[in-house]
Amino acid sequence: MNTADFMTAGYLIFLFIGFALWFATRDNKHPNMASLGQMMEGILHNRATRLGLGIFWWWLGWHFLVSIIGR
Amino acid sequence: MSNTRRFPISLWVIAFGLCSALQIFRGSIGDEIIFLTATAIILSSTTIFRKLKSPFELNDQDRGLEITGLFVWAILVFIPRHTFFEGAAIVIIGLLALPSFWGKVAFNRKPLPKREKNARLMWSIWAIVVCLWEFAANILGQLDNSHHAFPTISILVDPVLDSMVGKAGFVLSWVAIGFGLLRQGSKHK
Repeated sequence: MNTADFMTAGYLIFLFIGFALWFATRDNKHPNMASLGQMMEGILHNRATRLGLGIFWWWLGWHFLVSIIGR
Repeated sequence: MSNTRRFPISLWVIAFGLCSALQIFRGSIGDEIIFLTATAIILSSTTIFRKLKSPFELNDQDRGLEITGLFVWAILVFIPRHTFFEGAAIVIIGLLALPSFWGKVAFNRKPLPKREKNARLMWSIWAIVVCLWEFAANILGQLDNSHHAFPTISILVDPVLDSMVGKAGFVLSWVAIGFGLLRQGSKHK
């Protein structure tokens, strides 16, 4: 396994973990853990969180659709 | 990543400040300007401009947002990437969305329930680990002078977006996430 495979495997593992976390909590019935949607509804009460997530979301669009990637 | 009135300077300021520092290392002037501007906007939003309210009020029941989302998706898919028009479209979307993200209320009125705090901690840890992996790939790639030996998410995803299907899928996901953020955010006026 070379470094590129190692790094790519890391991303795939994180993606899988993220999906598993979402799947395990999606019905919002766990006694100690809210679902992703429920949590988002709560944290978006804060302006800084709305702006932080919103600007990061916007930047992803800019980065992948407008910027030349490869640096 | 959020705070109550006790801590008016959000952790988002630190996160965007660190991203700004990384852009200096990457040598990306455009992204540097974006992240520094974002840091200033977020910092001011809970300090000197915390009482400033957005003049726009997005109605979370308004069906027009779905139609706008479909329209935006179609436009972004058919405009070629890396062009002036794609850039202009993204800038316009950002300028239109920003007041809705700003909203009317700067801080939580009540603390998060324990379940939501736990979920916030769990997802924050996940996001930080992913960011550290991405930062490591970026830094090691710069030092090694080879982006393909230590690929970032951008390097891996970029070729997929060269196809129409890949781009359509990405734009659909991007618009859907933005739609969700705007819809959820509009509930907190």
